[in-house]
Formats: sequence, structure tokens, C-alpha cells
Amino acid sequence: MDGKVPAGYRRLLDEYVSLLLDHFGRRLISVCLFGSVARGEDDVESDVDVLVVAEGLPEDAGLRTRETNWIHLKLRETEAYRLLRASGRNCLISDVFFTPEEVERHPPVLLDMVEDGVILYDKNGFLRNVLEGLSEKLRRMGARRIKAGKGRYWILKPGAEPPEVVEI
Amino acid sequence: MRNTEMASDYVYRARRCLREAELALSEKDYAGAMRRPQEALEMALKAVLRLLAVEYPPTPGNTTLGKS
Repeated sequence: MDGKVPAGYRRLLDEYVSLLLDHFGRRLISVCLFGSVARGEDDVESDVDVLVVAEGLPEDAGLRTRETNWIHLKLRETEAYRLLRASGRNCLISDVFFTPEEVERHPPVLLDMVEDGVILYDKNGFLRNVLEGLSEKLRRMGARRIKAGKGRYWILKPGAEPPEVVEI
Repeated sequence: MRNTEMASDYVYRARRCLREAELALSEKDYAGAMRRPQEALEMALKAVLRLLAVEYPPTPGNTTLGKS
């Protein structure tokens, strides 16, 4: 989670975080880049995967996306977006929204950030603490991350078989 | 989170896909009637993997899943 933003995406992501701050204000807790762009394995078709943690989000996932749709429209008007598009890259930010309480329950999407997420904004180190806790838990379980093609998957607890319950 | 509740989530999604497939078939949307069961199968497979404590990223239309 200590990686760096790939140079080509820095301006776009700076603009994006700035727009999130405009929208959420003090409710914004954390923003983290993950996926192929964070790993530096992106190609021209790669989405830019981002986790956004904010307080007071609506229950409905669709409403969460709709509430922030204007940010994507605004982003398209920026020079950072135009420059990135001109370089042939996909500028589609694929964002997922969680509340701090949901993140503390360790949703599976965090597994994509434990090793190579890039934290872009983190109020009081909230997400860093959560990811460090999850990382420690995975280490204790003997979890392994396996590379398969362009992606990766986790064997959370080697040898686990139903009905054993595994908790992350 | 527990792998069992995460697996339940994929089973729920697989069932939804099957219902959508039935609807597509009833409306003679044959492309949809083919595509949605494929997605249901992927969701069901991911549910089984979760029960085995294997976690795949939520890649839509993950064609590498069945090959790995």
C-alpha cells in the first residue's frame, strides 16, 4: 500500500481526489487506487480502479454511484483527462464506495489493496490501519496470492474445506 | 467477513442471473438467454471457490476463471 501513482495518471487522480473533497468535504475518509493501474500492469483498455471511503453514504449502491456521477462528468472537462485520452489510455475511473463501518468488516475488494493499493488520501490513517490489520490477519492464516494471467487471486487459508468457516 | 457469507452473496447473484435468463427467454431475447446463464455459472463457480477459501477478483465475464 506504499506504492506510487504511475506518472501518467497522477494529474487525473489529483483532480479526482480534489473533486471528491469538493463533494464530500469532511465526510471523505480515504481514497485508494488499486488493480492493474496501481500495479503498473495497465494496458490501454484498463479501467482505473479506485476505492472511496466516505461517511453518510446511502444504503443503495446505485444511489451511491448516481450521487457522484457529476464528478466523472466534471473530470472529463479537465486538461489532465484530455492529455491522458490523447496518449491513448482509457481514463474511465471505476470507483466503489464504502462507509468506514463497511470497510472495517473487510469486504473482499480490500484483498486487491493489501499488497499493491496506492493510498491517495487517508484521514487520520484510517485505511492504512485497516489494511495493516487485514495484512496481519492474512499472514497468520498463511494466505497466499497467486498470479494467474493478468490478474491475481488469493488462497486465503491453504487446505481449508467446507464446512470450515474462514474469516478475513 | 466470513467466506460463507461471501459465498452466499455469489449464490444470490447467480440466482438473479438465472431469473434474468428466464425472463430473456420468455421475451425471445435469445442472446440474453445465452449470456445470463453463463454469468450465473461464473457466479456459482466463484461461490464454490469462496467456500474453499479461494478469493477471485470480481472481474465481469472472467473468461480465465474456468481455464485456471
